[in-house]
This record gives sequence, C-alpha cells and structure tokens, in this order.
Amino acid sequence: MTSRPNSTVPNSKIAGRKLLALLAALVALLAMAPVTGPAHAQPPIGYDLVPAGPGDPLQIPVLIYRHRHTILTPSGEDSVSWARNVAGFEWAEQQVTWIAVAANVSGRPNNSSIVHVDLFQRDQTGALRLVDTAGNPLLEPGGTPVDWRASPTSTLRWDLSTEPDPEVQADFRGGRMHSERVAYWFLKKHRPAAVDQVERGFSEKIPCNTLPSRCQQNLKSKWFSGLTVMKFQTDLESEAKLKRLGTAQAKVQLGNGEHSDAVIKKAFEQWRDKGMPAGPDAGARLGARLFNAPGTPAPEGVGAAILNEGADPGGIDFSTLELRYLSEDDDGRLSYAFNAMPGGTGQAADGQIAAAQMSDSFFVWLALPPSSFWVNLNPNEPDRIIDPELGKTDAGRILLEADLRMKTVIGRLLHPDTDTGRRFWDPEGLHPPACLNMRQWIVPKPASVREEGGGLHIVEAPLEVKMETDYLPGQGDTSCATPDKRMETVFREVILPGVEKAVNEGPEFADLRRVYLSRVAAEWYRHRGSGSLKDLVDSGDASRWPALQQWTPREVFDRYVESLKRKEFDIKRPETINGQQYEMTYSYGGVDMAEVPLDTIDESAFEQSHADLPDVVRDSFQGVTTDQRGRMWLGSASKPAARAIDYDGGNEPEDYPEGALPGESSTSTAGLVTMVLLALGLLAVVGVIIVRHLRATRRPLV
Amino acid sequence: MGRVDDGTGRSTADEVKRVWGDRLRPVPPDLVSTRLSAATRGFLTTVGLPAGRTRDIVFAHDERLHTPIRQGGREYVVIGDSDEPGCRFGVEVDTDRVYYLDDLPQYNRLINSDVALFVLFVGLFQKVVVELPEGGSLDDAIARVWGELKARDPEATNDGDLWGVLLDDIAAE
Repeated sequence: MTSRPNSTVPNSKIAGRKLLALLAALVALLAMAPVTGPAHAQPPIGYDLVPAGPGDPLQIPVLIYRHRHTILTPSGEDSVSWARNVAGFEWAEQQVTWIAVAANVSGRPNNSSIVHVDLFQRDQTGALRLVDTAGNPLLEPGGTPVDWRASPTSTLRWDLSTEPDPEVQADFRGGRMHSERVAYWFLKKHRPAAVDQVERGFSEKIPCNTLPSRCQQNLKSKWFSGLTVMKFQTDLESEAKLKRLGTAQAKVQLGNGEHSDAVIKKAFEQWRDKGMPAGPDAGARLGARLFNAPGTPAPEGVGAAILNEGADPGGIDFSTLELRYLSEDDDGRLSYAFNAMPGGTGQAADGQIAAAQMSDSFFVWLALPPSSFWVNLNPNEPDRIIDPELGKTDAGRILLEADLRMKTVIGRLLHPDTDTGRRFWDPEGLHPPACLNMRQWIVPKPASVREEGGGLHIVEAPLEVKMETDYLPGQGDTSCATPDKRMETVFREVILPGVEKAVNEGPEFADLRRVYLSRVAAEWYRHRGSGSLKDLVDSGDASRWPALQQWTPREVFDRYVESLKRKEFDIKRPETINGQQYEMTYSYGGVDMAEVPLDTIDESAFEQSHADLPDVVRDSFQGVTTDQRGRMWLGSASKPAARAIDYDGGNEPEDYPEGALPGESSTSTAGLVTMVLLALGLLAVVGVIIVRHLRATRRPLV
Repeated sequence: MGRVDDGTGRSTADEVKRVWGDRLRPVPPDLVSTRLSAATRGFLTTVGLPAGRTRDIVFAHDERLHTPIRQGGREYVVIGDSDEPGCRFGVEVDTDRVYYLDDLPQYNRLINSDVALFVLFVGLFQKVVVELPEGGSLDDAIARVWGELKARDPEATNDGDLWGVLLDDIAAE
C-alpha cells in the first residue's frame, strides 16, 4: 500500500475534493430530508372529497337517521350504535330531490344483520319528508304518516342475512357493507335509475381508502358514477382504533374526546339541543354559513364561537345584529365584525339567521352583477319581479318582501284615522280631480365608510325612500299627469319620512338593512379590484348560497296581488266632495340596490366621532367588546376562498394540522424548509465549484 | 421458516394447526412454485392452507400456487382470493411477505411477514373476532388479536397495514 503525501496534491484540487465531499453530503442529506410521501400513490378518485361544516344540507337527513335509529332505538338488533357510520346520498329525479340514508352493517355471525334505510324527499318548502321506495309518504303499519321526530319506522328494514342476492350476500359476509355500499345496493334494488344519478354524498366518517372496502375509490368508479362531491363530517380516528393502538398519544386523544365517535355524537347533541331543525334554515341554525364556503376552514373568533355554537352569552340583542367591519389579509382571510344592541329579546338563534343572511348576501352581491340588484312589485308587471338568479337567494326574498312591507307601511301612514292620514286627506285642501303618483322606491343613500388599515368600517348605511317621479323622472307611471301639489307636498314631508324612518329603524326592515350592509361591504370589495374572491365577482353564479327558506318571487307577487284584491292598499277618503269619492289605490315601486354610493369619512372626522372603533374591532375578535355608543361587537375570521381539501388533486388543505388527514400526500413544513435550504446550499456549492473551475482554467499554465 | 418460532417456545405451525384443526390441507409439493423460499414451501407442503371460505378469503389449492404473477414490478405467488373482484393474497417471492394484492397495485398492502403468520392470524381473526360469541366483548377480542400481532409480527402493525384496518372496520358496528 502506498500513500501520496498531501503536498503533492495541488491546493485547488484539495478544495475541489472538499467541495465535492460537501456536495455529496448535501445530496445525501437531500435524499434523507424529512419529506413524507404517500405510502401508496393513489389514483384520482374523480370527485371532490371535502369536509362539511355543521348544518350541511346533507347532514340533516343523517342527523334525522341518528335520531330515529340511535336515540329512538337505543338497543337491540335494530339499534345503530355511535361507532357505526351513517351516510346519505342525494340525487334529483324530475326536479324532486331524493336522499337515501343508511348505516354500515356488520357481517359477523353473532351481530345484528339488520340495517335500516331511510328515503327522503326534499319538498318545495325545503322541508324533508320520509317516503317509501315509490316516493309516496312513508306510512306506519296503521296507515298514518310516519313522524320522524317520534317514530323509527324506516323506508326499509333490511335483514341482510336473508338477502337472496349472492352478490349482496358476499359483500355482507365479507364484511364490506359500509354505509356507502348499503346505500348503493338499496338503490340498485329499489330505485335502480338513481344509482347513476347520485351527485352528492355525505358521510359521518371520511370514506376510507383501505382494503378490502376501498370506499373512497369505489364510490365513483364502481357505485355512483355521477358522484361529484362527497362530504364528510370528521376525519379523526375512531375511538376503537385509538383503543386498539393504546399509545400515549392515543390515550390523550381518547381522554380529550378527539375521535370520530365523539365528534359525531356531539354534532347530534348540538342539533338536538337546537330543537332538531330540519328545514332550509337548519344550516344557519347550526352555524354553517358564516363567511365560509363548503370545504373551507371553520370560522374563528368570538363571533363564530357564539354564532356557530348558538351559545347565547346573554345581554346581546341578536335581532339587531349588523355587519359593520370587513377586511381581508394577503392570505385571503376575511375578518369581520358584527355589532348589536345590548339587552333586548333577540336570541343567539336569531343571530345565526341574521349572520347567515349577511354572509350569504355578501357573496351574492359579489357573484351577481349590480344591474340585477332590484325588485319590482307591480301588478301589471308579473314578468318583471326580480332577476331570476337573485330570485333564488335570500337577499332577493328580503328585498322583495321589504317592497311589499313598504306598501303596507304607506297604507298604514295614509290611513285617514291616523294623524298623518288626516293631514294627507285634509278635506279642505282636496281639489278634484286630485291624483298623485304613488310609486316609491327604496334606494341607498350614500354610505359613510372609513377605510382603516386595509379594513372597512361601515359607520352609517342609510336607505332612502323616493317617489318614482324623483327617482326615475320622466319614466314610469303617467296616469297622474298633474299631481295634486298639496297632496304631493304632504306626501313628501309627512308620509315619506315616516316610511323612511321605518325602513331605517323599524324592526320589520331589520333584515333589509342587514343585507344592505353586506351590499356596502361587497361594493367596497368590488372597488378594490383584488382579493381572494375576485374570481367570484360578476361570475353570475350564486348557487352556493341558496335561500335559507324556500320561496318563489311569484309567491310574493301573488301575495301582493291578493292584497290588492282585498284592497289592503286602497286608501279611501271618508267623504265625498262635490259628488266625487276620492280613492287612492295601489302603491307600486320596488327596491333598487344597484348603485351604492360610498362616502368616505376623512381621518379627522372619523377620529372625532368614532375614534374607538379600530380598537373595539380589534378586541372584538378575542371577546365581546362594547363601543362608546353602547353597541356590542363580535369579531370573527373566515377563509372563504381557501382551497377545499382535494384528495383527488392531492393538494394540501389549508389550516388543517399536518398529518390530520389520512391519505394525504404531504410535505411537512420542516421538511420543506430543509429541502429549500439544502437546495440553496447545493446551488451555492455547485456555483462555487463552477467559479473555481473557471478561475482554474483561466490560470496561466506555468 | 425464519419466523415459525417466535422465541417463546411456541411453534407458529403448531398454533396454526391448533387454530384451524382439520380444515388445513397440505399442498402437494409439485403444485408449489420453486420460486418460493424453502421455508414457505415447507409450510405449504407440510402444514398447508385452510379449505373452504373464511369471511371473504378463499385459499388457493391449485396451480395458482405454482406460477408466480408479476404486479407492480414484484413477483408474487397467489395463495388466496378475496370476494372483492380482482383482489388476491400473495406471497412476495423475494421476501416471503404476504400482501393483499389489489387490481390496482397502488392499493397493495402488507398483511403478514410470512405465510405461517398469515394463516395463523386469519384463523385468530375469524375465531376470536368474527365468530365472537354473543355477549362477548368485541373490544377485548380486538385487543387480544392486536396484542398477538404486536408480539408475533410487529412488522405487520404499521399504521395502514391490513390487520389494523380490518380490526377497526369490524369495530365500527
């Protein structure tokens, strides 16, 4: 063995070897960097797999199923324990929405082989009703309709041990009858056409992608070919698994109730404690709609805590809840603060609906074009009541009902038995043929706003009631060519202020004011021209924010016409003058929120009148805060444009803890940082080598 | 087989015989692939595989044991079928490990580290958990099988391996 003295090796080569050694070490480190990949690269599942917040429309029938088959049937072979999973699948047939709900069932010989399947239809009012497999109302054996609140009678009580179909038997005996597969086989046998029509599903537990059931993959590829989205309530491990693992961490989770069984049970209890809401407003009552979207992280902050939980802290009149602050950070997080009057009778449940209305309408005002933000109740224009898309939303309903209500208020103020009516109908001043244009419009006045630190304070957002002759001069009703000057003056000076006062202060217009505040916030957001929701602006698609209650514009219009027929809006003068009976009829008009002027308050004025607001808003995210005017503030934050969990695309859900989601292809933050640093180091080393090499090659040969 | 004896004096082969009794059918030597290790071949030809159906497994007793298949770049000898279409159980030729083989190789999962342990745990699962007497504690039954698995085949107890999945699945009832 021979060795070569170091002195015989040029220094440049030693340096080069050191660099190469370093390079090799870095490459080795890169290879070992803590980047965790999936144990098994999985093929796309072909649908969106997203977590569902409380109150998701598909969760309600699942909760009803739990009530009937877990609570009303606490034991015995028909009982569905909390450890089992319940799933529902929705499809539409001839404009009727159907939902099939089923639990999983064991194939163990000594376990119950019974599984109940409930079939629902969602009717036009948004309410759920139990039906038989033919779609008729589900009846008790005695012929009375099944009341889901009191009866566990199901659409199908299926004893799988006696099922003659060998394929079903094989799945049952093989332990593969997960709730999804039970629903599939039920539909396959009883409503076969529905199998390919199923579009959406909801499962209490995340469908697994494990053998031998592989529900996640099979859901679309083998069972429901039309499935577009599968929602799940929890992706936590089951209680049984934590018990089986028995690790210290598992014991902590068990102690804290951090497992799927506890989550499912708690969600049920919250629903039960709120009176088991099952109508279209159930989602709002369960806190599902608070500036977030399906699949996005749950809202945070004291407002969300109170409104989502529906836990009334007391001392807040939630019927006066209003959106008064909005901001968005660079990460797409919306921070918002509501305020409300102290005391009063409004419960947190009222606040949930109010908050949902403001949240939903904010998105609606962004999604639809402003030119569609009008409603018009005119008996001669049944085809021009409301924009069709706005007509599917709560914002549209609230505007249209406010219009109808305005006419009622005007009728009340013009009634000759009232002071205002007496002044209007002053017999001394009536000169036939007296007439007056009776069309009024509710429109925005300039909103006083202040932008502070990137957020919007909505200080004042008044509405105005205008006569159509002022609002649309030269247009509209021409039946009264020469309005009676005295009546018009009295109307302007006495009646209109009364109507406007009701619109801006009356409890009957509180929801109109609420959606208008959202309109102001949306207008500000539009003006910014940027933000995480910019793609939503004018997209024309508000379908993700359907009305909290089923309604149709035509139904409101018909109510209006009925009122006209009953002459509820007719104001008759009590006397006949010069042989003429004076009769004022019909108050037309509408609500128009297309234009929202924003009047920015300058800094000094804001400091003078509302100096406390920035601090109040900031503090409201931590706890209920009272401002100098006595209003109580509740702040929250949501990320409505956050990417939904997408197992199909393998993307990383936002705001979910590392490793919380099974099957995800994840790179830990630490791993990523390590990789980036190592990569930079590698580049630096390569760069040094190249530079040195270049220098060496440039060195004159001596 | 290297893992036939777990070091406690118990023979896995003996336990397999105790658990399965007369349902075991040794495989004729000429039906067993020569690609398998001597230990695996020895178990198959002397102890054998259970006859008949067990939950959703039907063990192979035919030429499938003779000719290895290739899947996902690996070579397996099929020792049984699942009721799930396209899903099988196979011994990996290079390692003696038993895998659940899906029709999509991405879903393949380790079950046991050798065929003797696989046959043993299929039997334990069936007798202790699946056929749990009425009134018996499912939690206890699962804990017993899991405890045995951890003691005898720790390699098969990683998160996501099949036995854990099956046990959790059956607990959800």
